[in-house]
Amino acid sequence: MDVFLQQVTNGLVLGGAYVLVTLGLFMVFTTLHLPNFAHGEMFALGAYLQYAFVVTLGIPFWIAMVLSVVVVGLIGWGLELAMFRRLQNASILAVLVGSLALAMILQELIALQWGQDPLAVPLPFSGVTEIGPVRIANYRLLIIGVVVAVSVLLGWLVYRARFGRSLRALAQNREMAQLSGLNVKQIGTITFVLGAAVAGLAGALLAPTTNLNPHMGFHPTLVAFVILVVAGGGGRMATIVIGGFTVAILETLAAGYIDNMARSMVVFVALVAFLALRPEGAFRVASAEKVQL
Amino acid sequence: MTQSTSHAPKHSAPEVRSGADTVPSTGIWRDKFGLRLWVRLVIAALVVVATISLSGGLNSHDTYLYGTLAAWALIASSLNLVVGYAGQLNLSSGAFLALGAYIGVLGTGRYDWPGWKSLLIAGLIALAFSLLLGLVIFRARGLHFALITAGISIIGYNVALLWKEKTGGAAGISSAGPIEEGGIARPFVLGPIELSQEVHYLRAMVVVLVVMLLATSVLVRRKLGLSWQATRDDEVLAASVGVRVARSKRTAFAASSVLISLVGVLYGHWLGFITPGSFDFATAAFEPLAMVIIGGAGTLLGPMVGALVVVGFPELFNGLKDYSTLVYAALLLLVVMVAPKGVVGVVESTWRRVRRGKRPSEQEKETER
Amino acid sequence: MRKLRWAAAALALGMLTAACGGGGDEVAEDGVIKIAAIYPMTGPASVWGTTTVAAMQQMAEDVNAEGGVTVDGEDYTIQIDVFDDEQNPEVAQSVAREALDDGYHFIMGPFGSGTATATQSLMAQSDAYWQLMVATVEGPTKNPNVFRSGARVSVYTQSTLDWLERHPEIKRIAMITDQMHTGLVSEEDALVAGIEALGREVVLQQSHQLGDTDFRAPITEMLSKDVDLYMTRAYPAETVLITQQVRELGGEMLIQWNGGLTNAEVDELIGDETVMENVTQAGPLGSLDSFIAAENPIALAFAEKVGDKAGSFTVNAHDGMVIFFQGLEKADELSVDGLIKALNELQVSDIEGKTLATYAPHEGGLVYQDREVNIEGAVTIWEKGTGWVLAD
Repeated sequence: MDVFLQQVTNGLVLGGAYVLVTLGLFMVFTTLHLPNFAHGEMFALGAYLQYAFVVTLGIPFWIAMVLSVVVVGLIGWGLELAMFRRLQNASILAVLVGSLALAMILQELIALQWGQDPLAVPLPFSGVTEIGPVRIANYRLLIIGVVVAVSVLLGWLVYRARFGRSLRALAQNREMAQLSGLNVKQIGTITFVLGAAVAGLAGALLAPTTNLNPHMGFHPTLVAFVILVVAGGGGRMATIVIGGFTVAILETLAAGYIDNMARSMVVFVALVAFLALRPEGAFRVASAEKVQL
Repeated sequence: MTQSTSHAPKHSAPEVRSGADTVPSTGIWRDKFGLRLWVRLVIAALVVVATISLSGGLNSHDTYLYGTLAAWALIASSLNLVVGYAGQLNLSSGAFLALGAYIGVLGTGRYDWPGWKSLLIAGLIALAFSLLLGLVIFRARGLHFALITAGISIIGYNVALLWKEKTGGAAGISSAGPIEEGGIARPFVLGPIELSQEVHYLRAMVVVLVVMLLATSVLVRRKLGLSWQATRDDEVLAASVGVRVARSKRTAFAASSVLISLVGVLYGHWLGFITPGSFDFATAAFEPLAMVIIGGAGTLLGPMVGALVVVGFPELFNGLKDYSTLVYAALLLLVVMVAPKGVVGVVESTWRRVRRGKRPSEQEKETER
Repeated sequence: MRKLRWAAAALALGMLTAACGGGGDEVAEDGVIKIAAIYPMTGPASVWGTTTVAAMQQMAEDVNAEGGVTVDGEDYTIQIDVFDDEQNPEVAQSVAREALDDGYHFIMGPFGSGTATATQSLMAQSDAYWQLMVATVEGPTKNPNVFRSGARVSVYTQSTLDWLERHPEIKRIAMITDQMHTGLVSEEDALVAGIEALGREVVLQQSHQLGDTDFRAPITEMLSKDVDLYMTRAYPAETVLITQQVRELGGEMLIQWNGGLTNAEVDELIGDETVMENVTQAGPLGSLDSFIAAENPIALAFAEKVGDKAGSFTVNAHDGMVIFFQGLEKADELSVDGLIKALNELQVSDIEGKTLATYAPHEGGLVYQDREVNIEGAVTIWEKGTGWVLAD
């Protein structure tokens, strides 16, 4: 075993999770300019629904996953209609605090339904692949594959498909998009549902690799915002993917070579330092209030 | 009873809206900002006298409960300066609260400092940090500002956890010296004043709160306070009439952060035993912000109402313990969605409507939005 | 407000009766001894709180069914009233004050180390009797009215060291410690010193935080050191994740837990038994599992009664109540001082055959010395199909 290569691989494994959570957030934030701090709860709901379908109801893993994604997408739809649509023109404070409040509400509802104890979802298949000097679990390989597939699919949707053109128009200028005849509300709803569904997919897919608890969505959301700010503020989707993997590899190397306790500290020190130096994020063209896709 | 200060900055703007003047608010009790100084002083004196005479009869648990409320009202009121009056979505309060609490508890428990020394050191360090941070954080805006300040709180929590020689790590430290030796929390000594029992802390915190609110009520009518509010309402406009926007943000941030640290010294002593868990993001950074917003950002009494909702409700409605977080989160969401001026704002506008017996004027609709 | 006035009245009444009664204060009403149990009934630690309290309630029911506890010739029934501390230091202080205000003289808990430390100052100022059943933290028992019926944190260390002594083939040892587990953190130096005194090598000391989910980096570092034993000194959720990830990355060495997981928890959280090969667990025996595997009759009978309310600290609750009842029965009078005196004089022979854990006698055959018991831990090993059994 080569320790360095194995650590980089570990970072890739972690990065897969980060990218998947960040992608949905990226969709919603860049198009609708909504910093949705309840995004992590869509992730948590995906994982808990997977638990409910697989462990409680005994539905096969892959069918359960489709169901989880659909249900989380529907929940996202409901939230968009009831809440986020009304926050479209609200201040950043209202959106941020409102979505954090929503996150707490969802966490409490999850706790009331499933309890506070950690829960586990069994792996659909086990086995480990050795690639040269490194080892990686087969299921982790699958996750990385899904991350790449979802990224390519979303990339096609945003940059190649017709829908993407409306999406980008909306992201660049809401008023102009509306004037030119686009159904702004409908595109907003579709984007939000898509973002929630991708988070739900992340939750369902990652459920067997972690313990489920009602607060499991908070940390990934924070990290996703860090990635968004550092790598993606106005950048293209590809930078989110690269940024997600980079943050995860840095975190893993810090944990492996400095101290495991330093891992989350490293991420947030990097965030503060980065924003102190580049207060507008990675790309000067973008501001936090208006970003372009 | 509450005074609206939200109209104030409009006076410094060139196009003064007629609203504030149409409210029949001047007279022997009120000036154009709200209650006159002598009325406020009388109310303050009454509250202090009432607290000191009534608090002796409380039992231990109720004293602790009211102490908790007073402590969080203090923290939220300090935060209100930068969030409510200067309009900056600051999430760094956790770091400054922890700074003050740890210096206070270490000062008494380990270094045998007198209380004033802990206060002085905590205040100076907080001042230095807030001035330095003020230079960089305000370059970020919106979401980026929220994230960088949240990052500061999270780093503060991690420092408390990892700097074990000083903070005792996750096991925490107490004002009674090393925890494993047992013992009773040591008093907080400020010259002739010695706070040792629960009820002493309750009285001290209420007195400090009253003084802080009085000072705030004066400050927000002066140039500095008005410049904060002008910055909050419209930065471009404020700058165009000569308000130094960047400086007013920094002064609000420094004032708020230093106050939070000083309150932290008192808070740490009152708890007697602190762990990093008392200063995690949810408890020490988000909850105070939620209190300010629920109660009414930029109102004098709002933070107190918010403290009552966030830390008081779980105790007052004991049967709802499982739902207490749910209730306060739902209320927070409701406020954000329909009543941006918080509970105090709703009460205020309802009161005004009732008093005048007619539908709200255009100007009020404006401020309620 | 009504509640407040009621409490004030109760307090005044309490003071009045205390003043009139002189030495012996009223600690029982209408033949009922009321106990306040301060445990986490909601929040992340609620599973431990609810199962521990369930076992205490069961013990109270059992003794009440047999006519109650006899103190100084009179029979009393036991009533346990639960105060939820949410495993939160500030809430623990608040509810402890409530219990004292309400006039409770016998307080069981708090459950956790952080909550016990937070209430330490209150314990010192109160006249009540406090009994820690689970909390391992040093400090509270320095007070003359605080007794610990469960194990001290050094038991974790001692059981590992005793077991290592019997296994000379284990030479290179690595450990990872949850920095939030204050008890295990405080014992780390003693553990390392003990291991080195046995002539073994500690090649790696790592840390993590409660709530971490990715342990691949520290595990990869550990795997590169070629160790014989990896000690995961953590709470259950992280213990499980670390173990799974060690096996996933190809580590086949012995793993030793300190998490106190029951058979049911292993089934729930791991499921796949191949992961559990070569997994051991060290510490005080808090769950009924290994006692049931050894067909201990008390454990079998008690397990039947508590059913699915059995948990990681059921043994602590059972034995803690046995000791409390025996202390009361031996007391000259029903009072806090009477109980404290009786406990300080309680002989191991008084509780022998009644407790599940083995209480080794202090000097003079005493159960308590400086309000601490002498309880031994053990190492258990996972046996496929059975669960935890005592290890060689």
